[in-house]
Amino acid sequence: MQLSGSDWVQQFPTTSSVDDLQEPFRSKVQSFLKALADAGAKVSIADTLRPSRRVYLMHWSFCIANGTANPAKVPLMDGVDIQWVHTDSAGNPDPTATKAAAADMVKAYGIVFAPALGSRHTEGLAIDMTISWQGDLTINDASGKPVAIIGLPRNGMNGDLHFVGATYGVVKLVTDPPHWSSDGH
Amino acid sequence: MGLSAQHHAVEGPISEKKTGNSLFLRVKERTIANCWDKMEIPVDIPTQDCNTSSGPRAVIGHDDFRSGIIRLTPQLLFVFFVPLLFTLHGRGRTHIFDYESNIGLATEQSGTVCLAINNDELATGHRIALVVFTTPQSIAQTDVLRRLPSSCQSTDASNANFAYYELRVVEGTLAPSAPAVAVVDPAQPLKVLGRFVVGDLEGDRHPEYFRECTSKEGVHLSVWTGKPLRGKRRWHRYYYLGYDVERNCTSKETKNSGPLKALQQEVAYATEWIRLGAAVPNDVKRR
Repeated sequence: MQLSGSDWVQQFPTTSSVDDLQEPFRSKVQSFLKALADAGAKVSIADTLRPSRRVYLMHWSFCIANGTANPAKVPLMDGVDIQWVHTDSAGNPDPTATKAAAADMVKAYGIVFAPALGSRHTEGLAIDMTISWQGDLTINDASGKPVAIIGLPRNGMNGDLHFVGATYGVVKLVTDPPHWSSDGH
Repeated sequence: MGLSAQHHAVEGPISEKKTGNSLFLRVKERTIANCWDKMEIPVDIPTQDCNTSSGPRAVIGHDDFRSGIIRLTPQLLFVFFVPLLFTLHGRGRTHIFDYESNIGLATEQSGTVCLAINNDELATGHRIALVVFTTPQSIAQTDVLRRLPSSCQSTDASNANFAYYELRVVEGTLAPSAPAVAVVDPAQPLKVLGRFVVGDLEGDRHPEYFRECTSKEGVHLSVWTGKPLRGKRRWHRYYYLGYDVERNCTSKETKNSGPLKALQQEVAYATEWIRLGAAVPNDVKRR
């Protein structure tokens, strides 16, 4: 087993490729993105798939670093052969080294707030993207019917665009401007 | 003692704690109070003749009307014009603070402090206070180092009006990767009271508070006149984190517009969901 530490941070990277999404959501996103492109909107994708193994590492390193989890009792994760508990030269648990290693991971990840363990991103059912356009936007909904979006804002927070996205099965979560998913979560 | 102080910081009116405020504000407050006292003086209006609920309809002649107006004129002047004069006078003395252009969002990435703000007139050396959301909240003082040619934050593409600046921290510290609220030219310097940073940004003796909360994968920062969640929200911005977090925001903190408009949007959103034959997401139901 490999001891915890910042070396883990490079593993299981987050991706921004639509190809990493799960079907049928992937096809729905591709259709919606095509409609946006055809309408002249500018789209910048931030995140699609956040591997569950990465999320596991982020979550538990944060908990250990902040003293809210017992490193000896962190559940195992398939495919993540990590040793959370560091030991001293005598082979005894070294809480200080354990916490310091977890804190190194937290710093390397750039974590400030407690990471959640699961989300639509870990399931490949969410995409974070910035959408913008100039002037009015006329975009086809999933049935091919053109929808004119005239009002402000001219970005992904436009309510009319949310309706269009929903026809494709790409649903807006309004509390988080970049986030769209299979069910709005 | 600490808990008591914290509680007081939230519950107690800031004006009671302040000392050394301008003479004008004290005079204005007292005068307005006097106005209200005066307004409670009953105005002698002959309502009996105007009663339409019984008997023949009363007819008021020009003379009656004119004499009534003449009789009422002093009271009318006092009731309508004196408060108006004081209001205008007060406006002239109140610090001009525009929430859209005087508040921005600052972050530190790889040792560089970046400010995104809807204000392109900040000169090099301009002092800017940052509200840092540590526990307790703290204040960092910064100076504008230089204007940046392009965006230095990841999630501000939704507002093309932002200007970007690099800041130099001259006092206090920022938490790396955590957003801070930048305040430009408040009427009164920001202060730490208990666990919270408080400021009278407009100089109207109404305290402003600062708050952050997390939604699904971002931070909502807000400024409130009065207690957060109970007072009036004056400014709001979202900061994208790029990872999923534990949520603790309320709908008051995450909405993007006024209460009525937000409610209309939510109703329209839920209605559309039903029309599409989908289950209304829990988030929408809750809001």
